[in-house]
Amino acid sequence: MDITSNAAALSGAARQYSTAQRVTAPSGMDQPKPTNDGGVIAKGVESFSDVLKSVETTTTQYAAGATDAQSVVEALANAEMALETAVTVRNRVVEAYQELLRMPI
Amino acid sequence: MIDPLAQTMKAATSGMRAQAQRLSVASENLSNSDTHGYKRKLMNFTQQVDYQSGLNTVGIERPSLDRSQGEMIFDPNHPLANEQGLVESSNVDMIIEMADAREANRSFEANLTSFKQAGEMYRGLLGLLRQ
Repeated sequence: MDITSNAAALSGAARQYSTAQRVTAPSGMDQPKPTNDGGVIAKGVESFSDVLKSVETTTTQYAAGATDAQSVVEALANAEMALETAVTVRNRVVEAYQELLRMPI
Repeated sequence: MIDPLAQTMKAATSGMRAQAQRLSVASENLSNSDTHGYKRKLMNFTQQVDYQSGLNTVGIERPSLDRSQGEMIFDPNHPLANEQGLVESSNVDMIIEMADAREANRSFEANLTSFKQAGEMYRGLLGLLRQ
């Protein structure tokens, strides 16, 4: 797990952004083709959900007495790190988008 | 790409797991210190390499037995007594077990600290993004 791959919320924001782009684009102009960075973001989302899934399995195993508390702590810490990263990146993207919205035309 | 901070957490977790097991072995020995013929268990640590990331974590092997002879006590009426009327008591030395338990505790704390440290460093890094 690393910082770049956990940009989960980024994808949601990016999607919103491209929708907004389409809405706000002047009708006569050629719409810019969306760049092909969906793969990276999708991978990020996948890795993020993997981390969350591993928390779920570890916690269930711990409840069943199949694993130790250390594993739960590790999985939870990983998930916390991933979530914080995702939220931070999302906030940054939203902030940047709002900055664009405030731009005088 | 493997995040070194996540690796730190993984290594620290394996250390904590091993030390917890060590404490369990020590308390097992302590609880059996009055059992006749009990041989104290010895903890065996082993290095575990994750070949994908090159991370060395600590693993636990099956505990081995300390085969040294325990104190022989004269008690002819005991069912385990030999021809000379001697019974072998356990070879557990309480002082050693207590020291081992204390060491496990300290080592666990060290691993816990490095775990926390990794988390704090990561949070500090994210703080840069947050402004």
